[in-house]
Amino acid sequence: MHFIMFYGFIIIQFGALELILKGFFEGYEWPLGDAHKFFSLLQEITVSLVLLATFYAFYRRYIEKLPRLKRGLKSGMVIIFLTCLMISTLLSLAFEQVWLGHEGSVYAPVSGLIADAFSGIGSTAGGALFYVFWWVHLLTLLSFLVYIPQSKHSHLLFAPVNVALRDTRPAGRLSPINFEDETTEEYGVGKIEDFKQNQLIDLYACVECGRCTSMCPAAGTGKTLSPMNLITKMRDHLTEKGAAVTSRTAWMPAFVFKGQSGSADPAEMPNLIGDVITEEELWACTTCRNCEDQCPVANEHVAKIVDMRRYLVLTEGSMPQEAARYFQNIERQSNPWGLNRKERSAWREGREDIQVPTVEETEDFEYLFFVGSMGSYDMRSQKIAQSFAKILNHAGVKFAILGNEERSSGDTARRMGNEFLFQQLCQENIELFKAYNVKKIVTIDPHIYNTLKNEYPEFGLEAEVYHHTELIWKLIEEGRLKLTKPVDESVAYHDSCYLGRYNNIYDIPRKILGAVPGVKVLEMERSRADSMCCGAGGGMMWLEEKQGKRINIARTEQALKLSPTVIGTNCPYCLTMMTDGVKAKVMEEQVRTLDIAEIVERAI
Amino acid sequence: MNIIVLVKQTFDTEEKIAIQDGKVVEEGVSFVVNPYDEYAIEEAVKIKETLGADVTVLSIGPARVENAIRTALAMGADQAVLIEEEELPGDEQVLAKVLAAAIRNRPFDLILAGNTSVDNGAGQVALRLAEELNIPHVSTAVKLSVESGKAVVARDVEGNLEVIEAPLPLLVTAQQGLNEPRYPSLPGVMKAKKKPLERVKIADLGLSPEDLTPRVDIVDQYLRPERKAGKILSGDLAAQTKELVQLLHNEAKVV
Amino acid sequence: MSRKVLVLAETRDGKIRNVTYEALSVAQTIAQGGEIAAAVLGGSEPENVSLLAEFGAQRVYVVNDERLNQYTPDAYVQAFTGLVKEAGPDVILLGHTAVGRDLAPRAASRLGAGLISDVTGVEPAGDDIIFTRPIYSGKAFQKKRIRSGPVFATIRPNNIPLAEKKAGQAAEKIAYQPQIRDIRTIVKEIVRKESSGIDLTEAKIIVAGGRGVKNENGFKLLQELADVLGGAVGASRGACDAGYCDYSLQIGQTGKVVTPDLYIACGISGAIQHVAGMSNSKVIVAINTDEKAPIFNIADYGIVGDLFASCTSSCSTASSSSSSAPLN
Repeated sequence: MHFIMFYGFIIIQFGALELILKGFFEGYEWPLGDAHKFFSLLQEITVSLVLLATFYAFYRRYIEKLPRLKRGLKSGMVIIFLTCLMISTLLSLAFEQVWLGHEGSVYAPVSGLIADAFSGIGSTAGGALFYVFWWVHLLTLLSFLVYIPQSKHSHLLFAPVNVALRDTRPAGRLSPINFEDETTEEYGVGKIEDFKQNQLIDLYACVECGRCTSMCPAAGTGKTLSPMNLITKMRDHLTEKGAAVTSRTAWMPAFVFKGQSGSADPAEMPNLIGDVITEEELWACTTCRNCEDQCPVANEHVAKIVDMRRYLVLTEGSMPQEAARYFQNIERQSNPWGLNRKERSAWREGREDIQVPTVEETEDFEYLFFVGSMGSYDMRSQKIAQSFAKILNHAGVKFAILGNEERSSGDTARRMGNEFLFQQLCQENIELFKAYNVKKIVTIDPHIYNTLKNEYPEFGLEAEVYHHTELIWKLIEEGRLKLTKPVDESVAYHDSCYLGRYNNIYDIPRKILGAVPGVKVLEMERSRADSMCCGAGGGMMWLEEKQGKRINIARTEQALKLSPTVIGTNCPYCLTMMTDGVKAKVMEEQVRTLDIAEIVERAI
Repeated sequence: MNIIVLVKQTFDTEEKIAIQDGKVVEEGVSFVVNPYDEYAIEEAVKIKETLGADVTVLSIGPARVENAIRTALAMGADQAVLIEEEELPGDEQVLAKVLAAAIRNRPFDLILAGNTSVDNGAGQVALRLAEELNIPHVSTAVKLSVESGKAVVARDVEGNLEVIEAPLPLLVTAQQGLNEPRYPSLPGVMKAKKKPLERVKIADLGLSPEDLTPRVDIVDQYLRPERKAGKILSGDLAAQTKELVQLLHNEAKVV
Repeated sequence: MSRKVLVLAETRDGKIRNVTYEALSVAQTIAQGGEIAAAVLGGSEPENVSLLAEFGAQRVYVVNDERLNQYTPDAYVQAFTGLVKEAGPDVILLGHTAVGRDLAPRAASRLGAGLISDVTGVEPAGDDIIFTRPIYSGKAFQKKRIRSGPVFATIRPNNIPLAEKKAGQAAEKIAYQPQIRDIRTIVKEIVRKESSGIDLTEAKIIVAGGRGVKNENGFKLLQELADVLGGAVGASRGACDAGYCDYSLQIGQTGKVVTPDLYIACGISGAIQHVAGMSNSKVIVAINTDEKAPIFNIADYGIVGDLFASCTSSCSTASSSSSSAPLN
């Protein structure tokens, strides 16, 4: 439908212009000579298609009642406008024919039909009716023109700009803050005008289609956060504030929109954080980017949320208590639980059959295995690290770990808004990589993968970064890893957000599973780019979900619908979340949760 | 209103303890503000924000204590005093006399402190200080409100809550649950670097040799014996639980 | 070397607290012929005098003043230090209880005495008494002695073995009139906890339940065991989420961090999120049907079995235990 609308609109403009001229110059036609009839035909077909499209739009919004589409008058305005325009166009053309006595033509099928129906009314009546509908068309068109910039239809202007100005950098990469200036009083975004310009264009590009909210894991489980509302609330706030600051109303003609005057005092305007957007909403985001992925006009919701989190954390020191504890633990012991940093490499001792040297113990390594806090300390995730180490040993890959010197990668700190802590950790890790001459890094955690690959280079990292699935697949392709033992399981595969939407790695894990004899891969309804977040990203792993249903339970239910014997994951957070979800559903006996590395290990 | 907050710098509770020659090894250790003192600092800053107050942080120890002090300043305290000495006086009585000497000539309405330190854990110094200054005290506070000239304190006493009314000047020690200590904001951290830090020495405080003579000696310090690998009990359940209770009573001595 | 020992006999609801008997037991090892006296402040049952005698008190000072019926620092410090000045003991012992922790430091400063707090062991050594106490939350210990002046110490409850109770002993009862001038702090109200539960973060013994407890009734069983042991009940996140208990019981990464002497984990798997809240417990007991549960890796004692049966059995074993004084 939108395809027709988009291209149709462009095509129709020419016809509309011609129609306007027809009102001034009787019988006017573009000077296309013989080809004009093709022009007419194109116009008629397009107009008819657009008309059908508006009926379809009406059906979707008001009859099928798609949940993400609003049903108020405003949302329907456009359908009314468009329908009006299309019908009045066709009728004008039809009555022009009656008025001027043109014969029906195969190149004007629709208007011709209507003209035939009314052919008996005579030329004068035809002329009068032509002008009636000409005026209807003109007035509708001009009102629409006035209306467009003042409604969500401004997306017609802003969306192309937004898409054109879109960052081509890796998806979801956050911009750093410069901390050099020690007199800075504010960090992050606390006022709407502190956003960058292209972030603000997003607000007007939004067409309120609701796709973002329909896929958002927070919105879908009853949290206050709704990506679309986030954008529209900020848009309205910006408009109001702009009016207040410039002492001019944003709405024209002013007498029609009298209620929304521009005389408010800028100092009395509601606060961006707290009044317009609540802290509850800001802390509910898992940074899964499903919203951004869905958005047809390339809006970026997540970076705005992180910018506001930065304001709260860095400028005000305000955050949920669990977040403060998280930061403190990372600062003191370099892991989220505050466990002794000298225990970081103790996971190696969990199994006798793996060789995991540290960079101090060997200089001869190809890959630096960045284990991460989960793999190092979380008892369940340690098994992923151990399985992966086993796979690397088996394939003869030379690798080493940083050991107790390994610091948290800082990804979660960054997403929670603590840019300062992130940059500190980032610098420390890069120093370590340089000191040990690290050229290739592999990790089991997609969050670490994403930040090392896409965000660390900005701070000086020069190394190739791989996710463990990438390396495993490479080993399989090179024949260094032969999967011979059957693993007879039906695996419901869960795409993680940071491997999937952030880095577009969907096929490699599936190819790996395909190469494991006996594994049957079950695809969830929401998979690949549409995969639903497990609920742990954006710091949510460490925060309490206070509203609605638990995100991980919702996702687990989706997995369990496939009646799998195993839920397959590629991320330690997802593994934890899905395992807990299965436990909550009391299905631990029937369904196990395994990482890809663990599944592969069972096959060698 | 003038508030003094006593702050001690301690090991992070996660640190493994190493002892050499009867002394606890400090090398490679992560130091923090004593967690109970964080409640005291937070409470002082809260009172400053609601009623208006001037908050002074007081601490004693070697140069590294400055980090703990700057954290307190970043949370919102106004200035600090550090009695800089390489070694802490080894005895709580002497410590209390030293602190009293440092405080005596400063104006104060309220002195706040944590109820114990996570390293020594004796919980004596603050209360001894109150005695030296001859002011009343309320310990283990979980709620504090200050009105003109007096304070109302709820204290946690082995599960019960006692509500105490006391006149100012008053010393109050903080218990877990008094408040949620804030994470210092970045501007706070930056400003803290410039807030005034006065350094004094014990010798400057006019104490007599008698005052500075400790009454208590440390004879030895040693680590807790290693946590042996756990014992999985066997036998039928009744036998197991009987053995468990016996072990807990006789071997572990925890019941 | 004989020493005169004075023990503050602490009572609760009129009854003598167990730690008093423990302090008297200490007194017996260090008095070495000197007089052992106990002091009872505020009203109490008359038979307390003979109960104190049974644990070695030869003289009991009864300090009656209605201002001592409710503890306040001023009243107790004035009364107790007045008594100490009159009785002139060489050694003063209190329990390291709420009263002891609040009273001893002030009293010590008033007397110009050194004080050794939270003692878990006492050994006489020639002219000295060596006190052992934990530091760094029990990761290490120190031995201390008083160099000069009266020996003043507070004893941690449940650590000193009780001496043999000698029935039929008598003690001299002396009434002491305290001089209490001025009480600056006023107790306006006491809000008693409804449940018998002790505060989780202060509890020395915690019985905690996880998902394995299966329902609210399971938690009632844990409460029984906790009551018998004189401890508090805690829970893992899983149990709270499942609705078996209130979130205020949650121990762990996003709950409370506790450091009890004894932590009994029932039906708790031992995921790191929970362990982060209790790993510094002195002694950990794990009861779980899954022998591979990670909790057994950090437990000192483990039972692989049904927690309901274990708890019920532990309850009856513990409450009929051979110790002569009730666990208090």
